[in-house]
Amino acid sequence: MASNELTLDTAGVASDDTPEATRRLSAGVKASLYLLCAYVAIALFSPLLVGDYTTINTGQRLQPPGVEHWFGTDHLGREIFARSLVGTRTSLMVGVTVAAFATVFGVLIGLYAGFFRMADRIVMGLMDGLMAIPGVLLAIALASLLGGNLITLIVAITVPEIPRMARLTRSVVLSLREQSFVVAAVSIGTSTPKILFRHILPNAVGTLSVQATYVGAAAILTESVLSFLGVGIPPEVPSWGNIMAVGRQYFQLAPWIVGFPGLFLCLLVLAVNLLGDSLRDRLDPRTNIRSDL
Amino acid sequence: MSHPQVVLKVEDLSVSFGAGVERFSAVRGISFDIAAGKTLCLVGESGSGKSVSAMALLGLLPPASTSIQARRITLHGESLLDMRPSRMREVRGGEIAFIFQDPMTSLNPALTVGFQITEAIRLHRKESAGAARRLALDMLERVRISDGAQRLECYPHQLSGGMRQRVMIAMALACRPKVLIADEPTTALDVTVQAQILALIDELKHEFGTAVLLITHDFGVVAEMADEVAIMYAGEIVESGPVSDIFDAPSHGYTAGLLAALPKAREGQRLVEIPGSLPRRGRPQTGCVFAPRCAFSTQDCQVAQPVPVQLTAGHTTRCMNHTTIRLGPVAQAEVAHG
Amino acid sequence: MAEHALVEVEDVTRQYRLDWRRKVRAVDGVSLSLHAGETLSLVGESGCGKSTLARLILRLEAPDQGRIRLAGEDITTLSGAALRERRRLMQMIFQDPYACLDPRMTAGDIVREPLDNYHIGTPPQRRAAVHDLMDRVGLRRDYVSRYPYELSGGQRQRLGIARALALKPKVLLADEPVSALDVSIRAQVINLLVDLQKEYGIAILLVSHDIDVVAHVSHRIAIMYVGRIVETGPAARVLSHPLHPYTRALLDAVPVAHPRLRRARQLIEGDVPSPVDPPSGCRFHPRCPMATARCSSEVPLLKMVEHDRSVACHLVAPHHPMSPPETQERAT
Repeated sequence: MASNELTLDTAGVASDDTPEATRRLSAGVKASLYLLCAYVAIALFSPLLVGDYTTINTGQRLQPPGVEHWFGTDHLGREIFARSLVGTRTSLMVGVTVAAFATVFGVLIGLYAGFFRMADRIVMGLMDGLMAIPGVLLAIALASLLGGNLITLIVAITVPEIPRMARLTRSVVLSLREQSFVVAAVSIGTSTPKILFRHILPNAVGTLSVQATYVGAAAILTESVLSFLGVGIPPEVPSWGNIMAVGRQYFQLAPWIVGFPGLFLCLLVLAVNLLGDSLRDRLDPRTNIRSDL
Repeated sequence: MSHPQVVLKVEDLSVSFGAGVERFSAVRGISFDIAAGKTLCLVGESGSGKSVSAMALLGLLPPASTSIQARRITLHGESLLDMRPSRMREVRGGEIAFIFQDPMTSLNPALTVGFQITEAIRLHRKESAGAARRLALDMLERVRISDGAQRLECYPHQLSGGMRQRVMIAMALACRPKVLIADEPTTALDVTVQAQILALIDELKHEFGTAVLLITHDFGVVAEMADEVAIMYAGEIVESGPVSDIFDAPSHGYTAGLLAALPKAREGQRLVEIPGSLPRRGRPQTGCVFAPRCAFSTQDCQVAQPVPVQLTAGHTTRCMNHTTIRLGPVAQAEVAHG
Repeated sequence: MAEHALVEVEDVTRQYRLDWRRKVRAVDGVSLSLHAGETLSLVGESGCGKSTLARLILRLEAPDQGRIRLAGEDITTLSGAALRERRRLMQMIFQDPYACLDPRMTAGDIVREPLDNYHIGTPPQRRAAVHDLMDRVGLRRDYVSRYPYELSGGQRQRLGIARALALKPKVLLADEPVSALDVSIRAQVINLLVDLQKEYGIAILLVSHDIDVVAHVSHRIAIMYVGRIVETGPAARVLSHPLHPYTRALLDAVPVAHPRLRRARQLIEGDVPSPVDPPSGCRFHPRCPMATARCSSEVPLLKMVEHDRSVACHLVAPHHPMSPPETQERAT
């Protein structure tokens, strides 16, 4: 009565193609992953490894890079190598925390706005307003009100990033909402929260996690800028930004003070962005197979 | 009756993608001819390789990853294999025209319809702008688009699906090509519009003497339009012949199965199913590629590679059991259910 | 009809606002009824409103005017928990087998979800029910852990049917269930639907543009054109003796079944009008070979012309059906 599906091995046409092709990673992606692992290791272990990075040693001022001081020293004789490595902690912490909070809040707001038409206009209007606030100015304002420390810095960078995540989530939700599997979920009696968190969100994770990596990279850059301007991390705690801030004055005498932290920053942001790009390529549903020869 | 001239001759065409382990043969050794003023319907389901075959003829597949081989592909005797790129550009659109399934994506949305038609004309017929415009208007009239002058200034999104397809036909036939390849030209259209477009293609074909290669999965379209039919399955042509022969005396398990699966065939009764689905890509085939799903298959079918058998003039099949299948519909149904 | 219809649609209208000036009436004053155990097909071309009507009947949207009754109960304005409760009686299968299944869920989860939603049975009982459903639609039990991308189009469509059956609905709405499938697979799904109807007595509302499929499975047909119903009646009668000029044109446009049946056809001109700016009066009048002055000014109402047939045409009088000069025989 029913078809002979039972006697035939009839897996779908698509199954052969997807797994192998996407498992191979390009060289660039592999490199960025290794690089990121290296950065994480540095962030975790650096204070133990590099010894002293705070002591002022005026006898060793402005030493160029050499055998004794690999990246040279700054105007107070502190080792650039040590300080750069420790600065990794700040950058990674800021990057990850901002990405995490901006994502959580942005996604919740975006889910709500995308799914409930009534809320959409109001919420998105609020988000537009928020996006209009420049991060740097907000950081300066918060720093002057509450004192410049890591918390205010993170808040100042996160707040303008939330609308970006919210907007993206909302647009993904809007398109997913019209897919027939969501309509099907409604017709089989699935409750709205379940539709949002069981159907829509898991299918949006791909796009959203890519954006989260970009948010992280942007946050790292912003923190450096803010520290450079003096409204970020206070100078006792090394951050690439504030190392470079100092180095700016001595740029002609000792370019390595700006050079090495800058290089660290470049490579980290590059690695994060490369990772984001490769995630996007792998998770883009359009690369999944539709065999219509 | 005069024998119409063969315009396009394809012999033993194979197309494969990728290389090494991932090599996939989309088309395996197909052959067909199309004569002037005649329609050959290339019939198959998704994955049969019908669209790939057509695109391979015109070099429309990405060259880097595609390998096209054939004993012969000739247009009026001129070989299309390894043709000079400059000559191929002349052939494409000028002598062999292509109509796609979805006119929305095959017309440039940023250019007016008039621009696109006259561009095609000027490219292939070297006419002046004024002469090209007159020709375009003439073609629009022939495809029954009223207010031609006004329509020339329209953008594709301002026209309905049926009208866009007419514009495609106008563009394709404006240069009086010798061959028209239409890949599922009506699948995206409503029934009433589909009928108009098919009738139009037929009419213009007779008027211009164009050879038409019509790719479809719809047997209704085949019944309406075809002079000759070639049935494709998993990259091979399994049966080919004059349209009445195919309908009256299908001689391959797949053809018989397709015809029996049509709702028209079984009013009120259970439809005859074709169990299973296409074979997985890349799995090497011993024996007939359709055998696992065939209602008529025997032990031999799984083992021996079927060879083309000439049944009558023009009717060829690649089936060892064609005599059984040709017994007729009643016998076929009995075998299928038994 | 002696018994209560399972689904009754009464003068339903649904319109959408395009911009501040324009509204489009996707469904305009439609009435129909569906009885237990029968298959009613909604036939029409693009823009006719059949998909919108299906969504209204399933209460995925609410009509702007009119009433919808399910098993005698008015569900037009229900919402929330009450609506969710009624949803158990009506289920839907969708056109695109690639989009109607959540790509992140396994086949088993997909079929089990309706059971979870309504807390039907214990978890082990639900798992058993899933196995039974998959057997019923002809899918192997070990596909339970497979993801949609590992299934073919026909298998996905079967999975969608299994999901729709999980709640034991009385009404199944099939929105173009086979048009995205290959010809060789369509037969499997069509046979399955017919079997399920015989076995469970489900009423099926089939939305389709494919006359051949409709002819094969329907008991009754309703033809829609630009938001309105123009003809209804028993499938065999309507298809062999169409009364409305549009029905005739539609049937005439269907390709023949065999090359020897080719004939010169009187095809109607023009394109299907868009519901955004429909013609006045009878919406078919610009393309109708028999249109009169009255047709362009006055909207024809759907009137009963025989005890089980209705037509919306000024030229077809109630109880005096116009004698059609050529009747279209549905060739085999």
